[in-house]
Amino acid sequence: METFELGVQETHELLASRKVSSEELTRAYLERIQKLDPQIKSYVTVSEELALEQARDADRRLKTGEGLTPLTGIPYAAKDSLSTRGLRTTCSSKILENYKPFYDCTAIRKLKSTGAVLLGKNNMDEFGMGSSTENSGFFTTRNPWNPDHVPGGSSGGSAAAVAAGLAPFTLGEDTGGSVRMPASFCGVTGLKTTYGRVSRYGLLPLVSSFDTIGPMARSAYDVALVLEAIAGHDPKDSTSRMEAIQPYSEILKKTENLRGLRIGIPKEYFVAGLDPEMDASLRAAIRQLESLGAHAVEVSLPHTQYAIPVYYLILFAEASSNLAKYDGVRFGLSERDGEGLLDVYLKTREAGFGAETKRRIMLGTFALSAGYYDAYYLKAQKVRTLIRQDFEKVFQACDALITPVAPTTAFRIGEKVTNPLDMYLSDVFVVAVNLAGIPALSVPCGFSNGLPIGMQIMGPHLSEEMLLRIGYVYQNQTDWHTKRPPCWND
Amino acid sequence: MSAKEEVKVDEKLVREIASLARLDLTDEETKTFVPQFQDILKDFSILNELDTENVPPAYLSSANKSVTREDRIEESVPTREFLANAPQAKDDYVVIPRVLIEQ
Amino acid sequence: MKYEPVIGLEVHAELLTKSKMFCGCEVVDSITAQPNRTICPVCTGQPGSLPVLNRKAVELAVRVGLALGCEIHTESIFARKNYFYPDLPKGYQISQYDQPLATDGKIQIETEAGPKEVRIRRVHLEEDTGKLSHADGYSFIDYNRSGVPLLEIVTEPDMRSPEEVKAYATRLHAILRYLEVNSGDMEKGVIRFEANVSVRAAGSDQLNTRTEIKNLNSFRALTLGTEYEIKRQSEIYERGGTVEQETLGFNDATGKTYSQRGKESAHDYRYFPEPDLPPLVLEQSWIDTIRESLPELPEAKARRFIEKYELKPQEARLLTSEKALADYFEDVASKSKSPAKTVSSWIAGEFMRYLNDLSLDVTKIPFPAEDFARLIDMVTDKSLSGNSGKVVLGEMFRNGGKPEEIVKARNLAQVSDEGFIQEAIAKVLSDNPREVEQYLAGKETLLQWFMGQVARATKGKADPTVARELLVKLLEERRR
Repeated sequence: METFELGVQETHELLASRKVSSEELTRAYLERIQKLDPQIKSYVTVSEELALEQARDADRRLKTGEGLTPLTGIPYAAKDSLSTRGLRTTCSSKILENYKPFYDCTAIRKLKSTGAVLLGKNNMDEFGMGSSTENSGFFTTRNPWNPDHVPGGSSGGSAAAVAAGLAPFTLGEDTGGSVRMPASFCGVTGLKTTYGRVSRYGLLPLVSSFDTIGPMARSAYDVALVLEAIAGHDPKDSTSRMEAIQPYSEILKKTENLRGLRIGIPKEYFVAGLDPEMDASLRAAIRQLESLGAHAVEVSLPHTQYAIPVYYLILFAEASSNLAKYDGVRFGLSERDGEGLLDVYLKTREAGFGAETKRRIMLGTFALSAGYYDAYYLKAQKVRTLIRQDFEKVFQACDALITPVAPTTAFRIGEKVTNPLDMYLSDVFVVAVNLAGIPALSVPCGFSNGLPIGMQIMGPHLSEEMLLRIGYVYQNQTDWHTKRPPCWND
Repeated sequence: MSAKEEVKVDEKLVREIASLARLDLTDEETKTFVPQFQDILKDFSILNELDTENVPPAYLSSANKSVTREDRIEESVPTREFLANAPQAKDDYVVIPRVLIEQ
Repeated sequence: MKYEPVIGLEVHAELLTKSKMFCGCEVVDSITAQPNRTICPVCTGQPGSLPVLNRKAVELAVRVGLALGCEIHTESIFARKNYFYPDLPKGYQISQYDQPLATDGKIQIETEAGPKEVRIRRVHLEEDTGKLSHADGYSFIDYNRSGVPLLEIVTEPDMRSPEEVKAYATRLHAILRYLEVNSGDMEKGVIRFEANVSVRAAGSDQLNTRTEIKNLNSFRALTLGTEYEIKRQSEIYERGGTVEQETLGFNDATGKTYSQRGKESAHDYRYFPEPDLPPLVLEQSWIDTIRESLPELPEAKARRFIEKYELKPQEARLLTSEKALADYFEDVASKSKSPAKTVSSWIAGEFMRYLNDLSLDVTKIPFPAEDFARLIDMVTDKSLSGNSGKVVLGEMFRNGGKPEEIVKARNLAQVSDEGFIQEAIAKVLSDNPREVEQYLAGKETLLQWFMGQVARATKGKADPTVARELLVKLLEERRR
């Protein structure tokens, strides 16, 4: 079995037993990125020097055996919206094309302290605005399963990198499905964490009320290992949860079945219009879970149809505010050829932002403005309460929910990008989760026309342990997550 | 906004908003945005079906309350590190074209 | 047509915390510190940074709210105020909008027509912006001040004259200093006033368009600025014109307000609740503890001084204008055997004069209170003349030293010894026969002149009461 096929756990064993050094492993990944990524384009920045330096540090630790963690010496990549000190952080936007932060995101800092090795930063939809990575200000990432298709978004680069074996795990970010969608489109396992479970300090914000950082890897177990390292209260983030994190990987190892687990199947998520092969895969997966001891019940989330407008109105509003700091004054792109300060603002933002970003900033400015605030922003926040209440009620009747991640498999590049509304509607199964702040795991569960299908497992706040258990047990019985895309051996 | 009212989205509104948001849209962009906004807002008006009179808004409904820190001085970032990113800097200041209207 | 001014005041006061509102950067004097020295990702608006609320800032804000008689809301939230300006690094200011920390308070001010209440609409927390300076075609930004905790205090438009505005401002200023939440140094900009001014026909109760006057950097500017604006608006109405709603600046040199035209006439700040900060929930017991620890405020202290020390209202107000001064007065009064009224006169008079001349702060007096107390007592019991006392005080201010030593060294002890004084008087009279004649001829005003001569001859040491008696006696003797 090739190194690149190995999960985090197995790679750790290789490193710990010194069969391979972190430097050798890192070089192997860097070479592979050089070979394959020109076709896939999952990386915006490859940090070769930094990676080798970190690998050598890790090797020192691996030699003495001191301070070893399951992630010591393991290479990874991070979505380009996570602040990395001294390393370009662009959010795939021209406005930040040459921006080098002078501080690290907490999640990155935590991974640094475990001795993990940062290979580089992944492509995304500009500032996280999009569901296909086609809105990147630089280039579109290709789905490793079919290069004419999108990898999903906005963490498309992070998902594609894992799928193509260009990193054993990556950190993605999920605001409205941005980890789960690409995970399902690329056939990898991705976790949207509970809002506040992982610190947002250093995460360039899109929607402050929804943004979460979550791991993507090739198995639920690997996701658990990464989650342990990055989760936890951060005094620098006032919204970060105080509750202690759990020993996820340990809990997983002890889990054999799902006896006693009640899984809810929300009827609003299994409607007409769902790809029939997808519907079939999901049903098969549910039967699989039942064979493992779970008990499925039909449930209802009656306000599901309102989730998209609620999500987008709040997104527009908060994003318009969060993106105001990109103004050409203190950092980033700055157009100084105009006539004065106003021109600096106008020309910088016009040149630096893509069309979708501009559209959303405008709609957000509108939704918050005097006279429209009540009808749009406030209304959306009220309906959001109704959606949250739907979940609270449903989790009294069941422990977890199983749904599709997207209405279809990965669509073709160019198919939806011209009609923003179409693109928004593809988020129908994922955004309600963000409105409620609950966690959700996307796990590969089939294929349709050679493109992966993902199953979404949702749970109440701070139930990552349960979601990962379900994924783990499911993956012990199935092998969807072990399939490799055709480009694997190119 | 009642179910009957609809916002009049036209180029004038788009230009006003662009100005507030410091976006220098081209005429073409402005023209393209108008129908897109109309469609989106129309589609989103589905929210008016719901009676939310007695529903509290969901903002700030996450778990934490009153998160505060002690009034203690922490190390600052060296000036040169901060200014390294500035498009224009001089004598430890960030430099910009002169502000015309002082606030 | 008589016009009545309708004025409200907005005050921004920097809070005396060690670190900034949302980060641990040190709060420094942004006028003297090296630019961009006390900065971090949070206060320079680096993308991805997040705010964490300074507990002390909340405590100080509650202190102010209580002192102003406000209702302290046990739950309040922060909001983003969105606008573009280069000294605002995030493109929004974290402030409070709906659900501020405190509302509905009042301050009592003294006006010519008697005491009056000015209602406080709200008190809320926010962060300060950076500082801009300008030269040649450029502007320069210093973020040292960005993120400093700020308290905004807004009144109802209850003031009806520039005098009332000044009275309110000075009272609020004193209260903030008393509470030790703000240093009160207007020149440094740690407390800033903005006036909202409109006028209406006297007797009417409608509210007309108001203008906002900014950068009123001193009490003088506050008075002059509002005065000018009242006049300007009245003249406009008189002419049948309309007042435009706008933001105005104030020119100290010309004493006039000027339009800041070209600015967005009305900001749309698009306020929404700050998602990065959870609601601020305060325990009632914590608020009560703060209330119990509030110091005696200027108004109450002045009343007490009038009652306890029998001071005149004006003197009481002067002494209580600063807590440190009031404390100093009580300290000296407690150590002195003289009546408090006497101590008060000394402090309100000579002492204050030296403080101002030497630009000293009352907390930095170069001699102990008991020394001053003894000096006052020496004059009260007549072992030192009033004039000599002033000389000694001056010496103590300039070079220090104990009053007794100074008196001895300069031979200033007052003499009541009749023999000594009589000798001096005799010499004065014999040296000035013409004046003696004139006096005896009826020019009684020369008595004062003779007194002056005697004082000079005795180097101020002669007890004036005794000297006067003897002088008159000796002059009368000459009549015969």
